Amino acid sequence: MIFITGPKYSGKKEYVKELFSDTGETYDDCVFDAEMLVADTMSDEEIKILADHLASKRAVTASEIGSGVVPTDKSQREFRERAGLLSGLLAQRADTVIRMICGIPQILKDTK
Amino acid sequence: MFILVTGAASSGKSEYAEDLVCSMEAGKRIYIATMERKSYNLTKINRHKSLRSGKGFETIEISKDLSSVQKNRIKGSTILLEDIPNLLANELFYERKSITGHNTFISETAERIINDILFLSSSSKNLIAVTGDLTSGGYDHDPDTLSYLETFGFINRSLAKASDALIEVVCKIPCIIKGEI
Repeated sequence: MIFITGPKYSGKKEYVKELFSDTGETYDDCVFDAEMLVADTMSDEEIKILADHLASKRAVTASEIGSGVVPTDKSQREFRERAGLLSGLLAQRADTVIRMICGIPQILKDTK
Repeated sequence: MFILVTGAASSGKSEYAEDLVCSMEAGKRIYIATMERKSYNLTKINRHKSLRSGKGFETIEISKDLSSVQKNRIKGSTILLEDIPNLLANELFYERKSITGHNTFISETAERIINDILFLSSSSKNLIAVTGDLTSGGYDHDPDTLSYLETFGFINRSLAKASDALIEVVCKIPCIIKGEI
């Protein structure tokens, strides 16, 4: 699985499309904006199960949302905690981890 | 050469960008300051001014519409443009309090800003433009801010694509993301 992280609007999805335009693959086996899957309440154990499930996908993208000021809103605060946990678990399970910066890919992990 | 410099707030982007300008061959150095001269900005403006003092910069203060900079004024020069987040905020919110729903205005403004910056690049010898990472802070924003951030992301991606080099400054350490310095 290729995991793509990076700020919002940094070009994660575009990068996957570019990557697959060479191989002719479709996006059927990709999950975009995976952080939204933990937007509602989810236990750490459930997030781990989700990460295991996503590990079998071809490519997964998730936005880095944990920088900046700690939100005053409790649900937003907990959401970014869950999102951070998920991203870490996905990066552990991924063969390749890419971080997008202004639309430019930076390879953080490449075990293939 | 067109170099884009990004990084978190107070990560040392400005200092690095200035050093980069000074490390380039001698020639006219122009500092384009986009921050509006308002009371709450003065501390930062003065800090950047003292960083630049003695480095031989000519300063152009212009908060929006960079295409109005005269071509012959910047010909052959090395420009330090600071910064894109301010420029975009000035352009988007100068006449409007709210931009939500004004999609044509937003996309036209974004295209114009990109073209203006590319105009600076093609009219000068070197352009070093400072941007920033504003979009790693989550979704907890009002609609205007989210529209601003989305537009900001688009501008950054377009400029990075057109750039010769993209540098991310992390805790004052420059990391080359694209190109060579």
